[in-house]
Amino acid sequence: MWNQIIGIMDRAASQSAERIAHFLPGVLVLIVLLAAAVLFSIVVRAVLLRVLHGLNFDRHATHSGFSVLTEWTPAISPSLLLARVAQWTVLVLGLLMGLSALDATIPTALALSVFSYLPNVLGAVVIAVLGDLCARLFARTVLIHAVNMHIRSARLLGTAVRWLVLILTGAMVLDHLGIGGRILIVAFALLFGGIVLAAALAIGLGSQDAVRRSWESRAQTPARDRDTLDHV
Amino acid sequence: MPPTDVVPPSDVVIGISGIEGTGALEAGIEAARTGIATYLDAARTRLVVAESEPVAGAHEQADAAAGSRVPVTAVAYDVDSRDLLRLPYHGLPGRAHALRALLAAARDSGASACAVIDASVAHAVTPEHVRWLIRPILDGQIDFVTPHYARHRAEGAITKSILSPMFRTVFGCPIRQPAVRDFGCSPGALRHLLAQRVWDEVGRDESVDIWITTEAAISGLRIGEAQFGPAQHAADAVNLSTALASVAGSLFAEVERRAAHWQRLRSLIPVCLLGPSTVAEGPEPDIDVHWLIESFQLGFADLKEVWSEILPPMAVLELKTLAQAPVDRFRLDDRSWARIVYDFAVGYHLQVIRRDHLLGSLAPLYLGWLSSFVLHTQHASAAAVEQRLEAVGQGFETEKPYLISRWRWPERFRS
Amino acid sequence: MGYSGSAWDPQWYKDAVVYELHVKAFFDGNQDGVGDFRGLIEKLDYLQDLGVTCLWLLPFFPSPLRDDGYDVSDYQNIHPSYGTLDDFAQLVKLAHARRMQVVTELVINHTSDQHAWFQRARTAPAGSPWRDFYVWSDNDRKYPDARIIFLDSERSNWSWDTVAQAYYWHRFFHHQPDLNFDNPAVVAEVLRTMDFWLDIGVDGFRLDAIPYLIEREGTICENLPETFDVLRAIRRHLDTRYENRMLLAEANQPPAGVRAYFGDGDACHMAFHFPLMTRLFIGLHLEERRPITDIMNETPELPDNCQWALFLRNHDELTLEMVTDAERDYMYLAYSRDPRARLNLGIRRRLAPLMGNDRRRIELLTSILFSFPGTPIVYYGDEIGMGDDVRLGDRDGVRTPMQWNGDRNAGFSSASPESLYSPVISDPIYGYQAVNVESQRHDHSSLFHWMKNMIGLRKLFTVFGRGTLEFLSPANTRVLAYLRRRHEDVVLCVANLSRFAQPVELDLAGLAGHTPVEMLGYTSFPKIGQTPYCLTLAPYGFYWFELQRAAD
Repeated sequence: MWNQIIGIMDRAASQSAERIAHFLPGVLVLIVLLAAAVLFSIVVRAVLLRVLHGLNFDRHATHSGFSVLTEWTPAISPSLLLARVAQWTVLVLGLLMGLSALDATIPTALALSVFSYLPNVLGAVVIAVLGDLCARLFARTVLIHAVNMHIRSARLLGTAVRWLVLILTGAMVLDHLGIGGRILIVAFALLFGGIVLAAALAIGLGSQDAVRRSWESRAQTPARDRDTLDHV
Repeated sequence: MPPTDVVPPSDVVIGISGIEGTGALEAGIEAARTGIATYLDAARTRLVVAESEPVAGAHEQADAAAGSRVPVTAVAYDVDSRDLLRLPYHGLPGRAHALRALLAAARDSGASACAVIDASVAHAVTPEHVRWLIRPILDGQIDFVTPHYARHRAEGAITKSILSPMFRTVFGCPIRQPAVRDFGCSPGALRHLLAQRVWDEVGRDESVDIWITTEAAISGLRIGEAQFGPAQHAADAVNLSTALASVAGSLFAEVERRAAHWQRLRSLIPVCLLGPSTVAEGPEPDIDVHWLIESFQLGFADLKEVWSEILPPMAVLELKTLAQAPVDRFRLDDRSWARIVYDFAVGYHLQVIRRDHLLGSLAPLYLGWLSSFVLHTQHASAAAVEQRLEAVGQGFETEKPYLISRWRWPERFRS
Repeated sequence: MGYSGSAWDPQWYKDAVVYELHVKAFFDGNQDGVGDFRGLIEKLDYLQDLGVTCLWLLPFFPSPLRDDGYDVSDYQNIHPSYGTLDDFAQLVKLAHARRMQVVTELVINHTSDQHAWFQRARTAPAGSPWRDFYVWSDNDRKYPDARIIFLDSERSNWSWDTVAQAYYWHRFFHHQPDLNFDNPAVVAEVLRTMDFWLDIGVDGFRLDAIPYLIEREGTICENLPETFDVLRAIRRHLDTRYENRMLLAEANQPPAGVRAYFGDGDACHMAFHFPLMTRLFIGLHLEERRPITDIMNETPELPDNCQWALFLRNHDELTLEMVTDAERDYMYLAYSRDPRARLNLGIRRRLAPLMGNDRRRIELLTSILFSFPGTPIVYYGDEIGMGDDVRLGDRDGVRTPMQWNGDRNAGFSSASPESLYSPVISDPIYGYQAVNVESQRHDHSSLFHWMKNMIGLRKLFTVFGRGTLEFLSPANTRVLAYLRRRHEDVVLCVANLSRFAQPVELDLAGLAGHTPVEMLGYTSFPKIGQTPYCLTLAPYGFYWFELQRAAD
C-alpha cells in the first residue's frame, strides 16, 4: 500500500510538472510580447507626438473647434491625447497577443475573452466621442443656415439633426460592442424609417393645406435668398 | 495674340480683370478707349487683360474693340486649385492672382499710373472712369483712387452698415465703398502693394478687395475717392449669408492683423473727393421690410443662445426689446449697432465660437439693421439718407473706445 | 558678411518681453522626471499665447549639476537629461517661427572642475598654455581684497588641488575654478563657443558673473579695466560675424559701476539693473517712493543702442549685496523673517510669497516693471503666482517644476513622483492644485490673464522700451508718478505704494490741454489744465494714462 501511495504521488507530481512545463513557454512568450508591446507603444507615442507637433495639430484642432476635446481632458493637449490613445491601443493589443499564446483551456480563457473585447470598447468610445462632436457641430451649423434661409422650424431642425446623429452614433456604438445584434439593426431601421414616414405623412396628410398654401406663396413670391438686391 | 508676360513700356496701363465669361467687355473697352482719347495720350496707354487660360476669342475681341489706337497685351496668371474650391462672393475665383498679374505688368512697363477695371462692371465703365482713376495720379495729387458708385439707399447695405463705418473708424479712412473692384494707383502704391507677402494666402480671393484698400489706407498713401454714377455689379454669386460672412470675415481678419495700428490711430486721413457728386438713377429696388423684420425676429428666437456667447447681456436684452417692438418703433440705435459689430469683431479675434458659426449668425442682425435703416429713411431725400449714414459712422467712432477696451481686456468681455 | 539673426531690428531687445526659464523645470517631454527641450517645444504655444517675445534659457550644458548647470563641463553640447543638439536646434527654429528670440547662458568666468580643460590643466606643467587656462598660485594669500561671494558655503577664494599641487582661484563654489582671461587661448575658446551657438541661431547670451573675469593684485578683482577689454573683443567678434545679436551682462554692481559694461555702445547691449530691483521691494514695504526714485536718479544715461534689463525675481536669491547694511536688515525683517529663506546675502523666495500672495501687490510691482525704462524679464511661474519651497537646498526652492494643472506632478511630468528632479509645490496656498496654468487659463480674472493683457499692452506702446523717464514729485510720497515720452507719445504712470487709498496732486501744467486716457479700459479722464491734476488711487492701485492731444 505504501508503494501505491508513493506511486500515486509520483504520478501526481509528474502530471503537475507536465502541466507546468506545458504552461511555462506560454508565460514566457506572454512576457516577451508584453515587453515588446511596451517598447513599441513608447516608440509609437514618441513618433506620433513628433509628427503631430510637426503638423501643428494642436493649433489646427483648436481652430477647427475641437477644443471640446481639451475641455473634457483639460490636462493634455489634443495631440497628447491621441498619442496616449495610440500607446494604450498598442499595449492592449500586445497584451492580447500575449494572452493568446497561453493555452485557452486553462482559466485565463475568461481573461482572454475579456481582453479580446477591449478593442471593441475602445472603438466604441472613439465613435461616441466623435459622434457627439459631430452632433454638436452639425446641429449648430444646420441651425444657423436654417435661420438664414428663413426656415421657421430652424431650432427644431437643429435639434433633430443633433438627435439623428446621436442616435446613429448610439447605434454604431452598440453595434461595435456587439450588443443587440440584429435586433438593434432592425430597431434602428424601424426608428429611422418611422421618422421619415411620420414626416411624410405629416406633410402629405396632416399639413396638406398648409403645405399647399406655402408652396403657392413661394410660387408667387420670389425666394428672398434669390432677391436681386446687391447687399455688398 | 496669345497671352504673354512681357509688357512693353507704357505711361499708363489700364488693366481689366474678370474677363472670363463676361459679355460686357466690348462696351467697357469702347468706353475706356473714348476716355483714353479724351483724357490721355493714347500712344502711351496700354490695355492689359489678365487671363487664367486662353479664352477663345477674348483677345481678339479686346483687340477689335480697342482698334489699332490702343494696344492690348495679355498677361497670364495661375489659379490656385485650392481657390477653385471656394466661390468668393464676387464670383471670381483667382481674382487675387489676376490682380497681382495686372499690377506686376503695370510695374514692369514702368507706367506712371495704373488703373484696374473689373470686367463685371465693364458695361458701366464710362470715359470718366479713365479721367478720375488715372488723371489725379498722373497729376501727382493722389496715390490711390477708389471709386464710389451711386446706389439706392438699400443697395450695398453690408458696405454701408459694417464695412464703411468700421473702415472709417478702425483704419481712419472715410471712404464709402472700401471693397474696391476698380481702382487707380501710382507707381509707389504699385510697388508697395506688390511687395506685400499676402498674395498667396488661401482665401485671399475673398478678401483681396478689402485688403488692397486697407493696405493703402494704413501705408500713408494719399487717397482719393472718385464719384461715379450707378454701376450694376453682377448679382452676388452666393447668397446673402455667405456674402456677409465673406465680407465681414475679411474685414475682421484685417482688423485682427492690424490691431497694433488701429489702437493707436486717432485721426482720419484726408480723402480727396474727385468728380461731381452723383445720385442713383431709376426706380429703387423692391424692399419687403416686413420680411426683413421677420428674419431678424426669427434670428433672435433661434439664435439668441449663439449670440449670448458673442454679445454681452445688455446687448442681447436690447435685441430682445427690438424683436418685440412694433414696426413703427423698430429702431436699432447707431451706437448699439456699432457695439454689436465690434463685439463680433472681438469674438472673431478670440474665436469664442467657430468663426464660420459666428459669421453665419451675423446675418439676422444685419437684416435687423437694414429694416431699421429702411424704415428710418422712408421718404427721405438722398441728402437725408447720406446724413443717416453719416450718423451711423459717427456711432462707430463714438464707440471706438468700447472696441479698444474689449480688445485689450478680453476677460471683461461680458461685463 | 554676418549671419542674420531671427529679429529684423538690430535693437529688438529694447521692445522684448523676456521669459526666463529653466529647461529642467518647464515640462518633461520624455517622462523621465526632468524637463527637457522636447517638453519646452510642446509648450511654445503657451508662451506665445502669454505674449513673451524672448526666451532666456538657464544653463543646459553638460555639467555635474553641483551648481544647477552653472558648473559647465562641456560648452558645446547639451546635457543628456535635457535632450540633444538637434532638439535644441528645433526649439530655436520653432521659437523663431513664433517670432520669439532665444537667449542662452555663456558662463565664461568659470567651468566645472570636471571640464576637460581643468582636467588637462591640473596635470599640465606649471607655466604651460594648458595650465594657464586657469588661475593658479603656490599660496592662498594672493588677491586678499577680493570678497567671498558664496559666504554660506566657501571660506576662501582659493582651493588646494592635490593633483596640481597648487591653489586654484574660484570666485564661486570650489568646484568652479575660474578661467584665466589673461590667456589669449581662453578668449579664443570663448569665441569659438559663441560661434557654435550663434550658428545654430541663438540670438543672444547672458554673460554670467562677468565682473570677475580678471584678477589683479591690490584690487578687489571686480570690474577691472581688462575685463572691459575682453568684453569689447567679444563684441567686436560678434558684430563682425553676426547681425542682430545681443549680449546681456550679469554685473551685480551699483548703477554707476554697471555703466562701464556698456562701453560706448561697443561692449554689452544690456545689463541687469540689480539695485533697482531691491529698491522696488524696499519702496513697496516702506510705502515710500524715494528708494526707487533715488536709485533711478543715480542711474547713468546709456548709449543709444543699450538697454537696462529689469526684473523682480529670478533663479537666484534676491541679492542684497549692493545695499547698505541698514537696507539689508530692513529687507530681512520685511521679507524674510524665516531664516531658512536667507542665503548668502540674499533672500531665496519667489515673487508671490514675497508679496504675501497679495494679488494687488504683485500687479503693482509688475506694472512698474513693465512701465519703467528697460526690458522686463518675467521669471517662469511668476505669471501664475507660483510659490517656493524654502526647505529645499541652495536656490532649488525657487526652481521647482512648473505647475501646469492639478493632476499628478502638477502636469509637469507623468513619471512617478519619486523620479522628479524636484518635488512640486503642494502646500494649500501655492500648491499645484490651487495655482496652475490650466485653471488660470479658464479663469478670466486670473493673474495669468492679467499678465497676458499687460504684456500685450506693453508691446503696443514702444515708449515703454525706448522712451525717456521723468519723475513727478507730488507731495504724497506714497505715490510714484512718472512720465514716459517718445516722439509724440506721452504716457503718465501713477502707482500707489501704500496699502491704503491715496490722493495725489500732480503738476502737469506743462501738458495742459492733453486728455489722459486710461490705457487698460480706454477711458478718458478729465482734461489736464493749469491747476494740479487730482487723482485718487485704490490700495496698491496704478494707472497707465496715454496723454492724448486733441485730434487734429
